[in-house]
Amino acid sequence: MSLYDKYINKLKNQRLADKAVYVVTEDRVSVYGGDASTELMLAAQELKAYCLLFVRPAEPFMTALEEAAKDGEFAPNDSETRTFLHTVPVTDNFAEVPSALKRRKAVFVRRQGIITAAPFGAEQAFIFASSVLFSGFVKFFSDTGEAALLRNPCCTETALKLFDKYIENFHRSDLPELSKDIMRSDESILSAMAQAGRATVELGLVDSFFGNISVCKGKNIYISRTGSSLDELDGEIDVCPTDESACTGLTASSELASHRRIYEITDKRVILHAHPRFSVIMSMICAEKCENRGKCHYACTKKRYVGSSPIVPGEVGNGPRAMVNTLPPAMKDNDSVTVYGHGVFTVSANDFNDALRLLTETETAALKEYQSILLASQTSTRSPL
Amino acid sequence: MYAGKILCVNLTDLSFSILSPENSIYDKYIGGRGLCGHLLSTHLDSNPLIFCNGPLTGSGYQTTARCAVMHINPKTGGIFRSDFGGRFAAALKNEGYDGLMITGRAENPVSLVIDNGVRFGRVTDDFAVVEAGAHSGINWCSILSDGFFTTHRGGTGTMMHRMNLISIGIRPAAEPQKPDTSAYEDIERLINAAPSLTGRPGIGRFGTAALYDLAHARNILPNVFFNLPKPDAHTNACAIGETESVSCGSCTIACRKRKNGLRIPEYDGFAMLMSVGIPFDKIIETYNFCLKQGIDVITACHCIAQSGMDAEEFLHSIPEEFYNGADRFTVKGIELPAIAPDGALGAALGYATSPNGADWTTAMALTHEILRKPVPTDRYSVEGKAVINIAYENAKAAADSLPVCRYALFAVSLEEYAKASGTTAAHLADCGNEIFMNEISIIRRLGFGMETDRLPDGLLKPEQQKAFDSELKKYHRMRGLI
Repeated sequence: MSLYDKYINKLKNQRLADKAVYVVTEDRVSVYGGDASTELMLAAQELKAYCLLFVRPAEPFMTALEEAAKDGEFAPNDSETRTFLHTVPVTDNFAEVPSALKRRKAVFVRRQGIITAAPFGAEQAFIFASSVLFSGFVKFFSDTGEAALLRNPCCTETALKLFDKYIENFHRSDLPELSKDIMRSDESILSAMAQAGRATVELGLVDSFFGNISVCKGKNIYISRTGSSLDELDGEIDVCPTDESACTGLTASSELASHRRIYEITDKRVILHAHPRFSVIMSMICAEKCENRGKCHYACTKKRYVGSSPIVPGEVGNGPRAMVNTLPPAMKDNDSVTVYGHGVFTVSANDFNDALRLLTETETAALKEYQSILLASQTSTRSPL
Repeated sequence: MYAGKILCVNLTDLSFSILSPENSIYDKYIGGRGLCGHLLSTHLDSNPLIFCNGPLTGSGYQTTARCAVMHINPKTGGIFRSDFGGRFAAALKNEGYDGLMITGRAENPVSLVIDNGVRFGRVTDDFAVVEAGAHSGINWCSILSDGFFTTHRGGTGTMMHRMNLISIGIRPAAEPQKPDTSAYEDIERLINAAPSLTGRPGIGRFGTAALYDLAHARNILPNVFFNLPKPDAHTNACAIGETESVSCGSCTIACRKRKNGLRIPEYDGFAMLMSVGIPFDKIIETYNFCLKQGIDVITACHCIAQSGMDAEEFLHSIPEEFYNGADRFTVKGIELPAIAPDGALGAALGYATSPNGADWTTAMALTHEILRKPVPTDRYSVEGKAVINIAYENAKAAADSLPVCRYALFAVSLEEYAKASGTTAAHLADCGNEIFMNEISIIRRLGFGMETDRLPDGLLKPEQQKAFDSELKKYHRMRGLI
């Protein structure tokens, strides 16, 4: 199976897309995944892009994106978008696709779908498209939820319908039993990490290219590599010595520093990090007007929670605004911590069972809280009979 | 953004003049490497030595303190382009010049001083300076800038010796403020998100020698093609211990390192010296001796491996037969850098097609084949690498012209730097294509035809070679060269 077919199948099997077509231009043009429209072929020709991917999102993502794009180019506040996509241009017209893709990684064409251009081919185009799917979804639901919380509701009916559709298609809480006694050997650790990664993706708690996972045993941290998929971790784990006697962690997850610090200050030996959609959404919904508004992702000082999971600010990786300064201290007293606009980190002592359970519980709590915000706002604005 | 002037110095009669390029030249070639290429192409017959800054020089944006250099390579007769950090580029811009083009030969050794005018005389101690390495015999002598920064290979120091030019000094500019813009924040966020740059094991902490561990684990150190024993895994950058960071200027990565007043080798130098058997406890001392002498470490290690001589003995008394370098593992006369081609086939393709000769900094395949950014690619497969290399060659050419450091490209793309310079990523990539193709055109004029786009024989396994040849053809078709 070609890489193109692999990612088309991923988009469809994860029920993210109704249609996905790659147009690949090397010294000749190839199309994968079905027929490419004339407009798409023209865009590829004008851009001279190596790899163009068109995705027609499945519901509820398509409607969420349409709503997020109502006012044109949008800039979601989630961490992935802020760091990598910056903004998502919006157009009604395929003719404007090339100019949008000359400055940004992806564009949303109303009533059509997402188009991404990737110089590195199938995998990169897939990542861009799934990032837009995630960010558009998060933006619509966080905007709608926050408006409801501020008693200024808009699109509540649409949001509730999409929410129901999402619950019907995506929400699962049937936890699989994961391996125990995983610390026996290197092999048992690697195999347990691969199993837990797959389960996290299958439960819909992360899109496959986000998230990371680690185990600490003795003087080593076993951690998923940057750019790895949680459902394909075989051969994708770096072993990083805690005594920093080697730089093999150069290719480790961006969150290695946070994982390392958590292991230093807690007795936990397993970390699971995913991007469950409604935990991310709930972390971003806040009715308080304060001096840090607009800087919440690194400067929020309020005590807030998703379920019982405290929310902390912090950006990806390193630096003064990074979550390495906020997440590990919060994990001293909590086995689940949510990072604003980013995702949930859970820990457990010996294997991934508790970590996965906590992740699921945090997301379930987020879904309940979100629904109650919408329902409360709907009641309060309904005209009296 | 631009000064609009190039300072042209003729050493033969110690005269100078000003060139004012048309706006269309800046639009097409951006600055830095692109502008160097334009000037070299236009004045090729004068055999000039060219230094250029770019539109982001002095802007305060991250990693933009690089100075581009270009000239005919005295060792090969081909092109040499590189860049170096320090205060030189910003100082040149501050004096009102986008570039400095030097031609001719002085009758007696001179130093060029640019300080609110041009003169020949002593360079003041605190000036931004470029000086030739001390070894005037070899044809691959490097330069030293601000006593610390250097270019690898290419013989810029040799050019200066031949011109009777001891050094160039410029009154330094004030360190620029960091810009208060969203583009700066976007770039900083990406730098901070990159484990290879600012992560605990990253090059921001251990210098680029941090890459040694990955190269060792993936079996792509130079000992592979030298057919020498694999060096010890534990004598790595971490074993050097804590060091002092030195920024090239306007850089929040600061990957250049110093300890006890001595510079810590970069990845290529470290991996080469380890591979030819320099004892770990002598690495820093040896590297710094080479820096002062202008002895390019990569070239020297090829010569050591080829000659079978004791490394210390070779470096302290280079035999004349190696004054033109080694000749076993070269592309366009330039020795392979410290990544073995059979374990990184995109890098290998980049060696073959770089106008510079064997050089990983042209197609930057290390970024995706080893560091997995922006996405990982299969380092054992050359299939599909032609199109990726072309995209990266163009992006790198544009980045070198702004200028932006190659290591920033481990994490930041043209999209973010385009925002900083008020244009689009696609426009920069188009300029990068023009810049790269101009260099191809120059090497053709210098006698390097398409047949020189090849790896030395025997480095790839037969099945690898077949796939490599097929992808190389595809590369040439896509570049419009056949």
